[in-house]
Amino acid sequence: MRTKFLCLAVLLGSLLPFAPASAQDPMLDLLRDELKYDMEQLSKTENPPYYMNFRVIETSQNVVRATFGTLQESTFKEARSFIPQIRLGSYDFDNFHGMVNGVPTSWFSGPSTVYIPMGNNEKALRQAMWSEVNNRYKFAIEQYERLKAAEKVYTKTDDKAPDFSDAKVEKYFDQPFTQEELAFDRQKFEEKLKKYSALFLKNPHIITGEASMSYVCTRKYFVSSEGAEIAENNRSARIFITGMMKTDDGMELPLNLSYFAFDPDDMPSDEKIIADVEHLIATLDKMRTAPIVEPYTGPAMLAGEASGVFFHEIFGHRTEAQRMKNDSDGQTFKKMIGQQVLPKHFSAYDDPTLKNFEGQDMNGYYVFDDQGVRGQRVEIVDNGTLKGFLTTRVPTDEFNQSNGHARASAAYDPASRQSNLLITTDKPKTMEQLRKILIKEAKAQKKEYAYYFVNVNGGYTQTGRTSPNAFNVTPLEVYRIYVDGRPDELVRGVDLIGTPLSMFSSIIEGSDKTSVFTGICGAESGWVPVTASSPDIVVKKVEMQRKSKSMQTPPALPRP
Amino acid sequence: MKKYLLSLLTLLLGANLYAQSNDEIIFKAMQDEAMRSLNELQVENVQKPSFVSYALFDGRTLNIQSSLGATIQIDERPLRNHGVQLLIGDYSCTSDCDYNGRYLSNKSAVETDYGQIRRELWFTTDLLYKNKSTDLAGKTSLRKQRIMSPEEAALPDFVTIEPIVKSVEGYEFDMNRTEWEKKVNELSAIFQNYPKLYDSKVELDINDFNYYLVTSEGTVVKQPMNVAFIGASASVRTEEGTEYTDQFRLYVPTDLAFPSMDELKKKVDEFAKNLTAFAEAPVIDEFYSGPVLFLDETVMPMFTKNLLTSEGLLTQRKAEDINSMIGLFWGDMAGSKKTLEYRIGQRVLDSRLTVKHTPFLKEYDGVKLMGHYEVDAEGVVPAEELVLIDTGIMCTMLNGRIPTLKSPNTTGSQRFAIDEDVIATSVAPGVLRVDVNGGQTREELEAQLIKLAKADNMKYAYIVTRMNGNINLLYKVDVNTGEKTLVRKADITPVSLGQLKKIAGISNHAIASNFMVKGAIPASIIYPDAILLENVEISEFDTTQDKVSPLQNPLERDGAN
Repeated sequence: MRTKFLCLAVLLGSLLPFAPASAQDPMLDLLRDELKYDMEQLSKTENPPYYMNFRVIETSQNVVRATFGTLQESTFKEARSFIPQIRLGSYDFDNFHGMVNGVPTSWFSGPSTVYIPMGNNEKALRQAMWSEVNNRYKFAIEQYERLKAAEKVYTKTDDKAPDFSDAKVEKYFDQPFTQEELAFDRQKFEEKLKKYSALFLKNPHIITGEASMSYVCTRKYFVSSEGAEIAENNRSARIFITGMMKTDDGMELPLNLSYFAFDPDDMPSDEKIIADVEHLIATLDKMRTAPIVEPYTGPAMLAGEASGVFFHEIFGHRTEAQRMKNDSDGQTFKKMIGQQVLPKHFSAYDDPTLKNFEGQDMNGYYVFDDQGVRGQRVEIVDNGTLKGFLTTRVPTDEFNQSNGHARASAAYDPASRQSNLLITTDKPKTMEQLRKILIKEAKAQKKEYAYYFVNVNGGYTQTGRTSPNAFNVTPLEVYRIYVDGRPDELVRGVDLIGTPLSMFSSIIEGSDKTSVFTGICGAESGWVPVTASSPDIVVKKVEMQRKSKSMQTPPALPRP
Repeated sequence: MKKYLLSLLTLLLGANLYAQSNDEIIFKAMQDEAMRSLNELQVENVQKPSFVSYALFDGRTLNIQSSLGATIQIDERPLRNHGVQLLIGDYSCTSDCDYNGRYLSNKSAVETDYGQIRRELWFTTDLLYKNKSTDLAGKTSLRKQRIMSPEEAALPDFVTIEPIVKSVEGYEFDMNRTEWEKKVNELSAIFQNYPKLYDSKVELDINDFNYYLVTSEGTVVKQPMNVAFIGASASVRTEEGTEYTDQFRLYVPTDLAFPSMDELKKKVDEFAKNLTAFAEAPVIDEFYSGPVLFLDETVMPMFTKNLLTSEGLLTQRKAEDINSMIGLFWGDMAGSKKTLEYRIGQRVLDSRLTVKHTPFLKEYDGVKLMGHYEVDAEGVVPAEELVLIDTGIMCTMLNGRIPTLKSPNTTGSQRFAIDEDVIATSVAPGVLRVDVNGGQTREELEAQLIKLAKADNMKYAYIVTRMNGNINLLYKVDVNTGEKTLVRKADITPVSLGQLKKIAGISNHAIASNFMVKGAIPASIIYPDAILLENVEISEFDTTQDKVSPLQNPLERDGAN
């Protein structure tokens, strides 16, 4: 009987793909009802909201970690969090005027995550939601009054756009995850990770040899007082491998490998990963005795992933529009729409709808953003000219409509964020040509060598005005390319630094090969999954500084 | 030494084959690396370590949180950390500067592997060795600049002990996740009957851990560290707009020691009922200074808050370096001469009270004692009974291996703490027993309360039955009619040690409670279930009142009973 019912349910589901949301998911029904009640009741008060939305994020997370062939951790956790947004005042001026979050935050901590019960116990869910709505409503009133008072005594921001804008009311429904989608072959991946991390035992100088994997299924609900109703699923599987050595001068040398797919079964084969780990170990061994780089300015080549991170930091963050409303932001590009910011053969776009690129699953993919707006491809730079920004429902003077880039992690309210950033060139060079261009540039600058950044760990940038508007990319694998034809030389101990505008004017050429950097990006609305893809590029001038290092010498006794 | 340890290991290991192989691997890895560190770890121009202690904290934890019958979160996982203590220099002057009992700790692989355990210990030991070498240089230099009395100069930094080999059996656990989830949901569903309460939650937490200890002196110990609790919390709003949140936790050493479900349901129901009644009780309308009778668990903090601090019975040697962590946080307080250590031989409590440490006691009056232990975190076996305060006169402090002028020896009281991130130890009791010589019945105490109040020309006296932050349940007793009225919003001035020197009345009946010292070390206390004090101040709490939310609590909205 049970089997028959299951088959019937599957059949009905497939026959009625456009059934109304209420027939499909009790959580969506409950959110709609509770939101309706709250809007009705609060509209009778002296501080009525003009807009509200409820977000619920359900995650089921598997984590496996192994070190030097031994299982370090193997866990499974489910959680459901709730984030209401309450806007008081009007579209023109509301309690979020210049603010991102609807709860108090500080320099030291962001908002606390509010966990609500799993399952469909209505009483329990309603009371948990009610409690958090009360908290946020109280804060909303206080914040609104403070902001209104501030308008009277402080200068007004340069940006005169309203605090919130209209958006198309969307309804979208992914079926809940199937058991097959949620399933994770724990034992299989425990064995795999143990196998990968055991490879680090081969080299006695390695002090950290870890392999970890996470498989996360996320179901996001979004319901708004305007009538939007969305339930969207996303999956992400990631294997991360890291090996580290310590040099005699105390410098820690980590190298990483990262693999991403939506489905754990789509991970690369053991052969491929094992070969990569062995190459990583060989490179680490060479790095241990590699010379330290002195501070340098001059030409450099950035491999695709390094270049992707470089663009994400120096470029991408400066196209996130919502931050530009704030006068404390550097607003690097705010007034540069229509101007040339990159060489004419370079273009850049951000595309959350891109699910797969050249065979690689894209971590920044989503259908709807966290304001219920459909994610759209945005042409940021077209043939060198700045065309657009990543916008949310918080408009700026330049762009008054959202293009679906409002993103946030649990507990946070959304802000403009990147998704899948892609850099392209319509005059691609082969790697051989690119290398020649680099050497030619080095010679022109009378340099003995240039640098080639193959692999980076990540980076960060500051976009505010109170500190230098600079970026820092942390390279892991860097080579000297000699102009006289000597073999390339592995070096260590540098960070790539600079200020954005001077860097843009230094970019010369890009290759015919694009690589994807998969990562997690942290900013004022929490941590969000992203990718940054770019061809290898040659830059006329980069600046490098010595990287910080530990004073700890390598262990006195050999590794057991 | 190595051979000696190996042969003792065989004796130590139990009968269970799986446990035997697991324990054997862990101990062998710890011991081999400890001896390698002791004998071979040396950087040019730096002394070798004189003492190495390895601790491995291993076990599993289950935490379930539920509200109104629905699971909020379940966290079930194995947990394993390792920690290293290392000294350079002989015991008369070691590299220990802050005497805080902490281990340099890190996460360990949950899978037992000889090589991996050694690698983890090796890496952490190396970091600590280099750290300690600079600490020793700094400490030696500071001491040269200080004027020290001959006694201070002669005081060693670490006392020598006889190493032991011991394995202590822990409690058995059930830890059936599905069963417990069902039970916790059943308990939290009780709050559905109390629509005035909100943010209610029932939480279960079970920790089944073992500490493995190996020192370079030859100590090899395995000891359990078991704690479980079920607790409930909820908030309520009074008519005038004050919000109160109350909670209780019922600690036991194993989940098998929890009361039956019927009893637990009764306890949660009583908690919800009391909180609802509390919100409806009248506000205390006077400043009161007079006799107060404290009942049941309200007596416990009089002893735990006054005796179980570094100013009380717990020895804490003053940090050598004011820049060390303990120096930064505590300044000169640790080692202050205000402590009980400097009052040995003086009266500190009422002469009817005797305080003993009885760590081997496993059960009292049907309560399984969470503070029971047989060996401390330094491998020292404590005395079965140690009198700390004898008929009110201060006798002895509890101490570990770090001596002070007044407490030169260990009493086997350095205890491991339960902490997910670090391995820490601290001086703490196991089972503390407050015995009463004489004492009165509860009826006699109530009669005495009325008598004292009348003698002070008071119309009322007070009886306190629960204290938890601003949730103090107390009854106003009419001295003429004996009528008791529950009042709220009462701020009761904490009872000082000085007030306990002269107690108006003490119960002749004792109860036992389990609790956590410093929030992390399981302990138990047996104490009289009522104490009558003559001069206690009670006033009205100054609270803020918020307007009622325009959104009705869903439980009330649905018209629940």
